[in-house]
Amino acid sequence: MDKFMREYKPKTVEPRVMFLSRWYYIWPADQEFAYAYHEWATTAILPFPEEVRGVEFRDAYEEIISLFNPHLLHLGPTYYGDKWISYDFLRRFREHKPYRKVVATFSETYLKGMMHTFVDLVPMVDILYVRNMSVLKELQELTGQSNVKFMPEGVDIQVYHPVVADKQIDLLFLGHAGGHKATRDEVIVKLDKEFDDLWVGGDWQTFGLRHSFGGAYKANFCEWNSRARIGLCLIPTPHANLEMYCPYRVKNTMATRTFALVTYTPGLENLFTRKVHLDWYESYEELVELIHYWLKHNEEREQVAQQGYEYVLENFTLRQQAAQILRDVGLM
Amino acid sequence: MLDTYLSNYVPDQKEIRVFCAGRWSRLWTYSQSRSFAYHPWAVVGMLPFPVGWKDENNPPREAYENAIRQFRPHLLHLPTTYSGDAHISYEFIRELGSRSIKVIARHNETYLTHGMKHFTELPPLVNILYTLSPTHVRTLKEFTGCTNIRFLSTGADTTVYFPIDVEKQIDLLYLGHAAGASKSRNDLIFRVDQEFDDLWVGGSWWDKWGNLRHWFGGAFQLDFSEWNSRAKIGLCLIPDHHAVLEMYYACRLVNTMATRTFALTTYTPRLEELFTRKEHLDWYTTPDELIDLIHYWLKHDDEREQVARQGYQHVLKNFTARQRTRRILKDVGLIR
Repeated sequence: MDKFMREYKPKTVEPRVMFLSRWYYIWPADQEFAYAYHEWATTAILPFPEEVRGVEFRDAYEEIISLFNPHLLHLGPTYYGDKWISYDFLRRFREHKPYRKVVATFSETYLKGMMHTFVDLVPMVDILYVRNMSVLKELQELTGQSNVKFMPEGVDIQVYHPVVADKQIDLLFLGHAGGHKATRDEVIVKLDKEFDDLWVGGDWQTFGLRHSFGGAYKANFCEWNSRARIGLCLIPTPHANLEMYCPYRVKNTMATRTFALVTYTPGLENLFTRKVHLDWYESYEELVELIHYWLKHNEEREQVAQQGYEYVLENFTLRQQAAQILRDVGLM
Repeated sequence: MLDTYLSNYVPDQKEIRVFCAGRWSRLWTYSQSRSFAYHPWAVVGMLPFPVGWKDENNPPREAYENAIRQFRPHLLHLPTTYSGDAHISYEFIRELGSRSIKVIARHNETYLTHGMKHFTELPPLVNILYTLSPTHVRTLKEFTGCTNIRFLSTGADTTVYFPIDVEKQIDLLYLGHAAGASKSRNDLIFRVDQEFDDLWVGGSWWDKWGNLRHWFGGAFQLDFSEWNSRAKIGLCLIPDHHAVLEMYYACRLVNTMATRTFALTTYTPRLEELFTRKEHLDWYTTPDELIDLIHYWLKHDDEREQVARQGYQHVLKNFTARQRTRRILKDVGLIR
């Protein structure tokens, strides 16, 4: 008998985890994080209506949390502070109940507008996980607390997976335009002029692109990527300066076994090996050169896509991250 | 040249929201697991309902209904653990129906035999009631006069039930509780224990029925996968009163096969329409035949492991929870 059998003890405690986020179809990775818990815990998920920003439902949500009585309350990256789940509730939730834990995951997207919320949150949670090292350092400096940890974005491989299909298009970008992403929009428009076969999904109708087709999420994200030779994972300038930042799109693309060409962010080499798992560029000129190169080298490109796929499965699944969180708070 | 998918592509137009209202209990986590399989297509709300609520006559029904209202689902899924009006009220279900919100329910055979009357009350309230056996479809149709009752066999949650790369270390494994209602199955386990030295049994209450040589308590979710992956034969026994149900199998069967473990199961009428005998699994019809088959399959390692691999592939292709939820979404018209 091996160690598992010799030392087997039936589990007597079933952890209960409650994940709170807003619902938002175009940001699926937010919610999908929650599903990864269910292998180890009874999980409740109560996505909050996207348009609700007032306090009208706060009491009802807090009542539900109390009824479910979770061991772990996980505030997703769409948490926007006291108006949603009140700070007072969070304090009371843990008071005199050491078995109760609260964690939050903080996405860089809210960096500018939401930093103050997460500064407030740090003393009220057991651990705040951030998705890049720049925010980690900033939050530690601002709060003087050490319970802020780095955890790169993960992928839900139940949703993002390869689809058997022939490669039919050269270049694909899936993502929205506008807002703070103007630098990325410019790159897409220039690439559309440079390359005949760029396909762009998202709200690009007003940009005059040659192949723009509206939104493609979840299963459609996989279908489109699996037909593309290169999945472009462009990051707008403000975020490209964040240390070890790597958005969901990169790992989701790699999880579809599609070659990913990514904007370099400082320290990215600590997460991936260049030309083994993916490739990256630092300037527009380099991006164009690399596209030409990788479109000409089919076998090498598909080998990198395969290696990147395997690497993501081994290192960046939400399942692994949920297990990590449960271990970090002592529930597993 | 673009293929059909690309040339006919229509962008996602709307988000789908599905709310699953089950009870929580470690014994029922598989029920919860299966509900999670909606998430590749939908935003899922999931609020497990307390088992053994401190005031059973006054469950927190209103709070739950309020949460469901706020979530504004397109589909409310009442899983097998739904326990009737006191859990989520019929009035509330009617309210959803009047707002064109789809409601489906899953019916578990266990409850039929226990006379849980809410399954006979549900058909007029829900869009579709899915059962685990065509026998129940007929019974419920006759009883209620409703036609919205369909057979949908159970699927395995492959995120929880999967093969683990370990050596086979035990001959026989049975994972399940020794419930009083399953006495015929309990008796059979004790007979197997007398005939074979290396039967390992997990689950509750076995000590109330006698002494098994290798009983180790509960094993759920990942522990289920760990134990099965170490077993040469996973026994999937069904008590006599369920073995008469057409095309019925317990979720244990597909979960076992999803761990790439050879499954030896009780025959139920028309099971051959779902699985091919000696290709995906094997089955027995009498206790004596079960004993003979165990002897046979323990002696034929290569053949047994080949059947286990084929069974595993068959389950991944045809019996996943993901396929079941997709079918439900199609049935109620929420996806194409």
